[in-house]
Amino acid sequence: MAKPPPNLRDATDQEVVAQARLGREAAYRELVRRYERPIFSLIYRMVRNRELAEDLAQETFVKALKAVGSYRPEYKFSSWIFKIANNAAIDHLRKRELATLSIEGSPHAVTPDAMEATALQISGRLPGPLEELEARELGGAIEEAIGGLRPEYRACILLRHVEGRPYEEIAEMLGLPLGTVKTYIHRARHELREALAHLRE
Amino acid sequence: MEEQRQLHLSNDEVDAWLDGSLIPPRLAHLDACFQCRTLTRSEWVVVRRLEAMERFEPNPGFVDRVMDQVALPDPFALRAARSLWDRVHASRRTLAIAASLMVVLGLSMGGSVAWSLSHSETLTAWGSWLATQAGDWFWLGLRGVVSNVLEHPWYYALRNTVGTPERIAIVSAVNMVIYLGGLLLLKRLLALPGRRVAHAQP
Repeated sequence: MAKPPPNLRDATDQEVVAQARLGREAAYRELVRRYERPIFSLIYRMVRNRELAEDLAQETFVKALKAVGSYRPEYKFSSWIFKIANNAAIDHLRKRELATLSIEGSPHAVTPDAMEATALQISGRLPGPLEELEARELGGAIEEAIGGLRPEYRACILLRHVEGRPYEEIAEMLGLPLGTVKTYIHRARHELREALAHLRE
Repeated sequence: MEEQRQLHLSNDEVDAWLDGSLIPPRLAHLDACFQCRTLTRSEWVVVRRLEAMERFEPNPGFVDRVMDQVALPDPFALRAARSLWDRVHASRRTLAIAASLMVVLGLSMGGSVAWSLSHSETLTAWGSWLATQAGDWFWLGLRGVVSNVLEHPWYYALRNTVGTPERIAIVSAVNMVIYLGGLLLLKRLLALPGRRVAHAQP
């Protein structure tokens, strides 16, 4: 008798991936369902913009599901997908850093009109419902303190203490030496302690 | 041992304390050292706050939006093979039938290979006869087509039109332009729609 496909809800990640490789749509959906919250949360806390985080999370899943055939089962699926998500977020942050506009406008703008057109609009606009939602969600002291960390520290501390990943796995995911990951996490905790010190006083 | 008790906790030891795996001598130091107690206490508060942070949810319909962008690797051959596999393994009877067919197929193939090896001269003679016949049929067909074209009234008009090398070049160039234009048009018509980027619903 043929072995029946496992009940996807109770199946391990590896079993679900095996089903996905056979082209079962339900297995694809199950993988997205399992990881949509942790992946979205990680990216949202990294980029601090809900719409962008959703785009990057989608990009992460699409990339992972398209490459599911080349996924090597000896690695944890969770590590693999977190690695893709972190790369997407870090890549975006790096690009944004390169393309940062000054308050006076783009450095490439030469005429006053162009400078005005490219200048950051920091006044005269009320926050929309999305910004208000973001402000509420990310407005807590700890969230703000995390937002103030360097992206590398942010990724490490979120993976360690929010997602509960071991140091070795984080090092593998981020492609960093174990010692560097530990240093980043200790420094991040130190910065968070200082940022939150006023709350304890 | 006494010296170790005097040293403050290292970062790794703070981690060990947070995980509940700090060794007893260092725990003794922690009990005695106000500075280390303050440090571990504040680290504990930060870590507990981090662990208590909620996970955010994407907007509803996220799974569907992802699936819209993913093509399932489900070609006809894969489905057909899986369906055949399931049918063969459906019962002992179907499995026995499939096994018998495989045995018959295997024996037939083996017999065919053995016969071919022992009658190679006959096979070579059949091959040459078939090749000769195919050549004759090809030339007969070609001559038929050519004589048919020559009998048409438009043949001589066409021959006069492209009677010089310059004319042949012009006609070829025009044909090439039409052909390339047709290809471009076809490519445009058959182009897939651009990738849809689903955005979060406000």
